[in-house]
Amino acid sequence: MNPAPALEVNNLTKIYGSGCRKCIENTGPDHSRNVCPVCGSVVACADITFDVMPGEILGIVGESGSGKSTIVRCLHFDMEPTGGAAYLRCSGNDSGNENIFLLNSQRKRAVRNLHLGMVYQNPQMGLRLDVTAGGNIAEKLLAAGWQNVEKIRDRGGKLLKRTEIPLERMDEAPRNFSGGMQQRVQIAKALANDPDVLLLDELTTGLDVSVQARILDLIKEIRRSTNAAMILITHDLGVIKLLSERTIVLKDGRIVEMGLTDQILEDPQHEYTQLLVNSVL
Amino acid sequence: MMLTELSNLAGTDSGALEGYNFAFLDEFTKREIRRKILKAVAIPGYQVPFGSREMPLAKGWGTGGLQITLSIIGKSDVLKVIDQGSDESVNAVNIRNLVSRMTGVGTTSDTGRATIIQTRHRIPEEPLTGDQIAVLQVPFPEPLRTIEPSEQVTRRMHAEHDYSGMWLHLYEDIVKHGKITIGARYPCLVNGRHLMDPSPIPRWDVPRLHKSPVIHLFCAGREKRIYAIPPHTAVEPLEFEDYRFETEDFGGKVCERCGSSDTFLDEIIDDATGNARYICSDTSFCEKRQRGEDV
Amino acid sequence: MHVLGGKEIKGFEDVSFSVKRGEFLAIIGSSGSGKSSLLKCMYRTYLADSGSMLYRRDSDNTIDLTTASDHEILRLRRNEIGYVSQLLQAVPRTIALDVIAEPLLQRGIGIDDARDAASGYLSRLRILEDLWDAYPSTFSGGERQRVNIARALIRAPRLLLLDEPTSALDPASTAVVVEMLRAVNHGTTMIGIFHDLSVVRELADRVVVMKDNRMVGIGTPEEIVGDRGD
Repeated sequence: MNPAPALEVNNLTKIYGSGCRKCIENTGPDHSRNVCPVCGSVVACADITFDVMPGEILGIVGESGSGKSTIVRCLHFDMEPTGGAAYLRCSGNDSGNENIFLLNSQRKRAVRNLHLGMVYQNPQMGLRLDVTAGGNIAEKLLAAGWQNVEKIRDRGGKLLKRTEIPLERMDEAPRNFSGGMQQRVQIAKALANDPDVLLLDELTTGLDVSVQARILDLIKEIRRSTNAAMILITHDLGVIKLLSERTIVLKDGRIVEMGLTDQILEDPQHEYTQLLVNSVL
Repeated sequence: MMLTELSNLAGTDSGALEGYNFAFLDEFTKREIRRKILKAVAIPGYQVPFGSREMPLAKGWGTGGLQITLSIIGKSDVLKVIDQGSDESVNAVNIRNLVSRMTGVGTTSDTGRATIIQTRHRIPEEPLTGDQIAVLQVPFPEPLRTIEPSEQVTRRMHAEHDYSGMWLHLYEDIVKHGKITIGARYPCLVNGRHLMDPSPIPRWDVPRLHKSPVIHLFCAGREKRIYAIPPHTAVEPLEFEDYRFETEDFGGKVCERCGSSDTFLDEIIDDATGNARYICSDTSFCEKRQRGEDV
Repeated sequence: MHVLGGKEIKGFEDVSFSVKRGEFLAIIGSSGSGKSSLLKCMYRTYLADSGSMLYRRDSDNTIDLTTASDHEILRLRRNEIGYVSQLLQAVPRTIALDVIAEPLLQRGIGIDDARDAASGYLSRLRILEDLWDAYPSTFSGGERQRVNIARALIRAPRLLLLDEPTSALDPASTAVVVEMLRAVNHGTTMIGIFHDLSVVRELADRVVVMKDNRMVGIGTPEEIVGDRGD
């Protein structure tokens, strides 16, 4: 009766460097560091376990260097985790019971193209700035096997309309766009194949407040109109409060607290979360 | 021991130039190239790296095709060499003379008589048969190079059958120009698996690669790559459902020499009058038609 | 439905009571007596340190709200348990109609149907139609609180938690809110914190009294409040 999570992540760990047996026990919030004093490796994140339901927005907060982005980059196969597993249990995914980190690169690419969408903080990472806005969306569709230009343009136009990009700029390169517009093209691209999981990495950081607001409204609209599970990475508690029902607090690469967002904000349990909440409010 | 045996197999007593191994290349080199050809045939459209040799010809002038020809040619072969359809261009003549002197084999301009046809930028108009071998000279073997500068990345793309970048390139072409503007070197999917650069043949020639009874061997000497289309292999140019691949359209023009309207025509601008004239690109074919032969 | 023994939170301790289906329980007590913490524990905005709060569902299975998984709590919030805060949490850049319709949209109901239902509530709340497509942040306190309550009622919750819903309102607005709450159908159980004893008399079936973080009494409004004035 209870719906199954769209994504399950178990013990995700990413270590930069040679790593040693002491890496995990010598790092983390209790030590206030993520660099192993024995071997010097950086434990970007360790023992990260969570799940996300279809239609849910899960917030992940933490300061710079807490390992937030590492988690979504691993899930998007932009980097390879050192350990752990992730399961994408969504319809049409024939690898639902397989650890997606262990798929071969061709199948990873298929999973990424058909089931995942990613929006990076920096549009340069998610877009080909010199390819037209429509072309950026088309790339995802082409990768999914679309073969009809008219249908591709029709779909691209609808996505751009939904993300409030004027249709007449469809055939213009996003290099000429404002930061907020570039971000909206990125969102349109991420939505191209109706992803089951949408990864949003600091998508409003560095944008003007008014531009931020429109993008956050867009994410709310997406939550209403799709059943995508979303992971929202941010250091901005205001964004979390507005969008996510559940929140993970990350420090030095570990989860220090996970709970309902209103509980995290009003009754934070971990000392670090209390500090974080008090710094804002 | 091995060397002598192989030399004897190939034979050196048939009018080839004394003092050189038959067909110029040493037997180890030929063996390496033949092995790489076998691999290329086994994986249609896949680019096999090989140890390209220095040839008595500048790189970029057909050293790849030449190495293939010299590696597969035997005493009983008859060679035809063309450059953009012409047997008489300087480049074609010199390659033909070189192979002939190094092997003593006979040469011909008659497509039907040749057993090996080395060609640059064209496939002969006359349909080839299963007992002939087409050797194509290739300047740029990597079809994905236009969209991706890194060899490491293009190899990964081939390995993962990741051609969305090329499809995107075609999409952008259509958006900007209303059609696909690629002329020569039209990217083709071979055997449903590997994307291949068919060498700078015109689009006109591309459909003739599809399920052809002939083995086509491609070699880039400078880029050190061999690839192949085995006989009866699917070769499909990339196309959209609503933007189909199209061959060149000559608008009803005919060859002013043989009157053909079903051949690839060269446009020649008359310097004196400024008028355009059209003649067959394949000279041997054109001559046959002029002689009234049934081709 | 039972709420049993919350313990050892700075907010309150040793609170035990139960509420029947359809009952209206009022919680009264001076400021800082732990009323609000108690209510927030029920909604899981606060985490209880010990004790349990057993919520019985229609299917008769019982869920301990203090230990249920986050996912379960979210499902209950979406479908069964509503919460009305003292003031409307502003939803930026959303018109009144959509603020009320949002819980339905979250349940997957189409925008037109959701807005229909929302406009029904707005007219019952006597909010001028001119204001329906205005931002509630521009509303008066009374109007805003009516939107807040409509937003909770539109879900037709089985359990509605009310955290001082009338404390910021003038008498006229309070009367509208009281009327609304009285009109809620009897399937809904309500637990509400009130300062205004006349409101308690009008609405409550039973009253819990909190003092110094403890529960000091429970009974009918007549027993507890009598005909004391405010």
